[in-house]
Parts: sequence; C-alpha cells; structure tokens
Amino acid sequence: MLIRTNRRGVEAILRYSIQRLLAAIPVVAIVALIIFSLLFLAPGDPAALLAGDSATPEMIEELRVRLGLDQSYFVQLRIWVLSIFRGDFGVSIFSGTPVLELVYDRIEATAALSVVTTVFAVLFGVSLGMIAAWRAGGFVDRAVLVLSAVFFSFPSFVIAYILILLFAMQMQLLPVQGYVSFQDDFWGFWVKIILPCITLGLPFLALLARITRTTVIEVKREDFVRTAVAKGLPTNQILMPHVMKNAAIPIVTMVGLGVSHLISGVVVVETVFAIPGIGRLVVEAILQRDYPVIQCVTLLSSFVYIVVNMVVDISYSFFDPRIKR
Amino acid sequence: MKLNKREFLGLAGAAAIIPGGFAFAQEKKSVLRYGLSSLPRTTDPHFRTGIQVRTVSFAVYDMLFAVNDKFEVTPQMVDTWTVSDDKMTYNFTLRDGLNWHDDAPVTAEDCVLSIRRWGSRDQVGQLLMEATSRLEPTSEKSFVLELGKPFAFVIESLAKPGSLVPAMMPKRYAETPASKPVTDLIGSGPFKHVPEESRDGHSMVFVKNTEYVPRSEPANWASGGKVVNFDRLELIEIPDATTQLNALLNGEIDYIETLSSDLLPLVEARGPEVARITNSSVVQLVVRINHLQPPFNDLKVRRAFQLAVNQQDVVSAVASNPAFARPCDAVFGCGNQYESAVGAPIHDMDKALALIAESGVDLSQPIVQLLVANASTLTPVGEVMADTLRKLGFTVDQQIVDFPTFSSRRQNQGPISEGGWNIANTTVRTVESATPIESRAVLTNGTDAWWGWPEDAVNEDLRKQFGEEFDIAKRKELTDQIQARIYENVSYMPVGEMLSLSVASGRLENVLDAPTNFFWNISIKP
Repeated sequence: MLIRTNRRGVEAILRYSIQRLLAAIPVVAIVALIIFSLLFLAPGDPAALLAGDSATPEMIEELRVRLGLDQSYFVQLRIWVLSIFRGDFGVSIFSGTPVLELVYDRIEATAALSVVTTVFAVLFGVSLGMIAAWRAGGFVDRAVLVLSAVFFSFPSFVIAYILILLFAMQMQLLPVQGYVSFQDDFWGFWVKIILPCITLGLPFLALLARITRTTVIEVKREDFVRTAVAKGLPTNQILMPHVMKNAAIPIVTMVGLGVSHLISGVVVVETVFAIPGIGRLVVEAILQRDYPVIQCVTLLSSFVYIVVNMVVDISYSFFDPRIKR
Repeated sequence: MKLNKREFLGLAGAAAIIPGGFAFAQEKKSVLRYGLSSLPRTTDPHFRTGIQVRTVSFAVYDMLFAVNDKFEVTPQMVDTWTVSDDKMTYNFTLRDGLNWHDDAPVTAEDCVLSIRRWGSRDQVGQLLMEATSRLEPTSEKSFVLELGKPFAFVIESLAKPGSLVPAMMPKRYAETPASKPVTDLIGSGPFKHVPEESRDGHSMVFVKNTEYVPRSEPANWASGGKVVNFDRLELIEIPDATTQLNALLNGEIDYIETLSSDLLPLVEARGPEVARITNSSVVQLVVRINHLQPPFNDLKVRRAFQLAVNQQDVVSAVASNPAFARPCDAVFGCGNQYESAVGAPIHDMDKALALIAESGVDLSQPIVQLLVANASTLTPVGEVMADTLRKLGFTVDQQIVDFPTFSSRRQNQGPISEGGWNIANTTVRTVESATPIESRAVLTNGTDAWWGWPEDAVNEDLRKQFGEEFDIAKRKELTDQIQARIYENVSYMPVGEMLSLSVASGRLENVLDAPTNFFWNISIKP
C-alpha cells in the first residue's frame, strides 16, 4: 500500500515536472525574443568597438559585414534561432571563442560560489532563526534580530572590503582574491571561496534567519505544538518533526527567491574577489556589446530561474502532502 | 644495488614524510604575477589598440627595430641594414638564432608578410605601405623595401613603440586578412604563451622562451637585450583596483598595471621595501569638436571655447593628486621629443566672451555633448567642458552614454537632428601620438580625419613635409608649426595629461621605466 502510494507520488511529481518544463518552453522563447530585440535596438556597434580607434569607416563596415551585423532584424533572428536549434550559440565577437566554451569555462566558479553560499546561508540562517524563535524575547533572539538587520542592510561590497581587511590584510589567514577549481586544488578551493561566500551569504543568511524566526513563532502558537509540549515531548522532537515541517514552506520559498537573487548578486562579489564567473562574463559582454555571449548567458539564467522555481514547487509536496493531490 | 620490496617501500615512505621528499631534485620555478584590470580578449597586435594588447604583444612577439627612452631607433630582430644614397631602397638582414615559438626558423618572408598585414591597418603602417613600391624577400634571411615616393620614417615606423605594434608573426598568421583577428599567440619574443594553463577571465600564462637569444646591448624600453630572469609569467585579471593593490600588499601578485589615484597614500605608507611606483605611461586628455556642424563650424566660436578652457580646472577634476594629472600644452606630449608650448592659448574668459559676442552665434541652440558615464577620466573632463560652455552662455544638452554607444555615435557626421553631436572627449596615449604621423588627433583631412573631422590644408601639407624630412632639427621646426596650426584652427583641444602609474612589489628589481610594462630585465628577490 505504502509502495503504491509512493509510486503514485513519484509519478505525480514526474508528471508535474514535465508539465512545468514544457510550460517553460514558451517562457524561454519569449525571453529569447525580448533579449534579441533589445540587443538589436540597443545603441552601440560591436564592429566599431572591435575595430578600435585606429579603424577607418571602411574597416568597420567590412567587420560589420563579416559578423553579419549588416543583415536585417528578421534575417539575424532567423539565423540565431536556427543556430540555437542546432545547439550552436555562436562565437564571441571579441575573443573568437565559441560561446558555450566561454560559458563552460566560467560556470563552475559561479555554480560553486552559489551552492556553497546557499548551503552556508541555509544552514546558519535557519538554525539561528530557530534558536531565536525558541528563545523569543530573550538575549539570543534580540542579538539575532540586530545582527540580521545589520547584515541585511550592508551592501555586499562593503562586507567584502571589511572581510578582506580583517582576514586577509590584518590576520593574513585567507587570500584577498582569486579562484581555484576544487578539482585542481581541493584545499585551495576552500581557502579562496570562504570570504566570497560569507560576503554573498550574509544578507541571505539574515533574511532566512528573520523569516524562520517569524514562521516558527507562528507555528509555536498552534494547538498541536502546545499539545506536544503538554505531553512532555523533548524540545528537539517538537522542533524538528512538528514545528519545522509546518514552518518549512515559507522558508523554502524564501530559499528559492534567495537563490534567484544570488544569480544577480554574484556580479559584485565576482568583481571584488576576482572570480572568473558568469556574472563578470555577462557584464563584460554587455560593455562590449558581445551579442552572442549576452544572449546565451541570459537564456541560461532564465532557464536556471525556471528550474529553481520548479524545484521549490516540487519540494512543497514533501512538506505538505495535500499539495501532491 | 637491488632493493627488495620492504626496502623500497621503506625508502618511498621516508621520502613521502620528509618535507620536500622526492621534490628536492626539482628546481623551484620563479613566477612573476602581474595584476591587470582586464585580460585582452583579442591579442592580435595588428588588430587592436589598448594597453593590455600592447603588454602581451611585446612579451610574445619581437620587432625588427625598437626605440629606447630617447626615441633612438636600434635594431632588434635585424642584424644589419643598409639604405641607398637616395634613401629610397632599404635592405635588411635578420640576425641569427631567431625562431618562432613552434621552433620553425624566422624567415624574411614571414617578416615581409607581417609588415604588409600591419601596414594595412596601422596609421603609420598605411603611410609606409603607400610609399612602398616593392617589399619582398631576397633570401631566406634578407628582404628589400623600395620606396616609390619619399618617406623618412621607414625605420621609425618599424620601431613604433605604441599600438598597433609592428610585431613579426609566422607566415601562416601573417597571411590572415587584417579584418580577421589572429587568435593564436605564436611569436618569436622572450615569452611563450601556454594556452592550456590559461583560463578565460582569470589568467594568461607564459613561460620563459629558453630558445630566445637576447641581444648583447643593455635593455632600454623595447630595445637591447630582452633577458628574462624568471621562469613563468602569469597575467591575472583583477577588475577591482582596491583588490589589485590589496593582493600586491598581501604578496599574492608582484606587479600591477595601473594604480588608482586615491590608493597612492596606501603605497607610500608601506614604503619601497613593500611596494613602489616603478613606471608610468601618459595619456593626453583630448576634447574633440565637431567641425562639420554649427556652432563649431565657426572658427570664432571654436577659438572662444579654446580661450575659455582652463587646463588647471580640468586636471583638478581628473585627480586631486598632482602626481596623476598635469596641465600640458604640448600637442605631441610633455616629456616627448617634440614637446613645445608654441601657439598654446592663454586662458582668458573676457576675450572668449568678446569673441562669442563678435561671432553672433545663436546661444539658444543647445550644444550636444556626448558624455561617457562612469569613466573615471572621461566623465570629469566632460563635466568641466560643459561648465565652460555654460559660462560662455550656451545651454548644454549632455547626452549620457556608455562607452560602446559613444564609440558608435561619435562616428556620426550628420546634423544634431539625425543623432549628431557637437563636443565629446577622449584620451590618447602620448607614446602613440608622439609625432605628426602617429597622432590621429592632428589629422585635418576633413571627413577622412578622426571624429570631429577638422579640415586644414596647410596643416596637412606640414604633416606631409614632416613625413619626408630626415633632418632632426627640421622635424622639430615642423612639429612646432603643426602645433601652432592645431591651436590656430582649433582642430582639437589637448586639455592636460594624466599619468597612469604602475606599482611593483619590493621583491622586484630592475623594472624598466617605460610606457609599456616590459617583463624582461626584472629580477625577483627570493
């Protein structure tokens, strides 16, 4: 019976995931069309930038023709769409490198930074929120509230410089900048990722701590919790299976939103800590009007947003079985 | 001696736990780490200008000739060369021991094709190619260049210290059309690129070219012996200026390309044993005026604007520390061989206002200014220009744009109603504009000139005379006359100079004081 129920549940989740992915196709297509049109309409000429100051108008025109920028909107759009269907996202106008290769080179750093930051923020944010809620009104609660307000208010670059000053320049415990892949140097990876993760994670952690605190305090007031306390259940047994499972949905929603915000917030941290990630790639591409790179990264980002939201939606069913139905 | 299994394992274990173990036999590699704001996305020396491209080009490629700090030309890849009495035929012979990084020998044909490719894009190269009637190899190591019309700067052109660098490249790359950038970095210079260890957006790795045979003369800028005293060079992209300096002070990098002016006190506070300024490159702050559209198609209005500009205001806006910016009247750069103050205007607002009144200009028409936003140098200069125009009675329509939009819009020769403009400002490196044939800013051939499109036939004739003049003293006279014409016609306005300072850690010795950061001659203290 249980197996049958579980199988039904898994089938429902799979069906739901496929539906969401199919529904994402028109969303991604619309995003792609908007990106393409905006870039087409945006002022600035990549051919003039690539040709440089020394180029004559004839040289710039020759480049424009070679890059296909002289074609009409619809011709360029058709070429781009057909290329994407072939899995070809084009070649960077400036480096001459295939865009997918550029993205592949950069995605590991951003993914590593985002994943480690999320784990750090969820682990500490939710824990602090729970402790604050359980000791609501006490010293710990007030300390968590004050610190989360401070961390949430500080811009990332200020946090970054303070951390660099303390841990790199004064104590000389950690490096100022750089990134090394964990495949190349596992220990080096952790040493270099700590400060960027704390910088990126502190506002996220603060947000999660406050949301967790508020939600747990609300759940704590429910009758079933009061009953559990009256029955004499130990705190950990009340907190984890009863309180947290019921408080989870707003927290998971906030984690999803936070991950989405990390994708955009990562640019500042990648710049300050010189991490070769996707954020910096797209900023450089925008400044140089490197259209193929901008188009590819923006499409990728919209896809990640959709997947993150889908994962969050699916996770609801684990905490609230009614949603499965 | 034969080892049994137990003895072998024992020795291996001991080697593993003793620090250094088996590694004692390996020599420790010395590495120089150079921090820069952005790695060059295109490294073709014949294709792109820019300080990063130039830095990489000089490390990887070699040149036929080079200049020293006195702008004297010395042979570099060339061993011997002769010039005919009528100065129309040049014969060059390459020196022995020149090899490309793929081990193939450098041939005269490679060099001929490289000169042709560079000459199809570079401003000076184009002049050389226009004057050249014959350029071809005469043997494996020799080639001839015959001029069809007089050109006095054949050797100086090939020794050009600024972009586009007249770098020599193997035939297969030199045959690439000039409109298509070469993406491989194969030269014959003192450093070899290691693409498999380089990472986009993070680092470019080079190793010492152990096959490179340096010249015997001492190094001076790009001339003389390019002796490399370390094994590996890493160019590390650090976009944030503060992080660059922090990384240097923390010992993570050894040398940084450009110090932000507000960070100088931090360097000075640490003392030269930690970090010190080693060299600087200079940029001229340039205001371009659109000569094709009113009101600046009127010479009186241009002169009024020129008289109203106060260079001291400009340099104060660019940098509060005088170590980073200075007034300079010399069209071809202060400290350069053709430095002069001839013809320079003296700031006089009363005269400027009188000229405006005399011109009868319609002050109700706004001046369209293209202003690059968030550019640490361009934005303040643009703001001072707008303020100056307002003091003259104009209204200014500041159109704030990013650099890509600026690069595109400034090419528009049309009227304001069709997206045109009246004034804009930029910078040029003085090492790349030190003579009338190199400087784009002094071109005055109308719609074929640099944006702003000034027209002055007298100046063009003087430039032509300069290109044909061998006598150094006469060249100086001509540059003075050209400068006077530039100011008289207000072809463009040089409004000061900004210095870009490089900083090295105290570990580095013998860093060359040059406008490009060269990596030879440097030694690293252990």
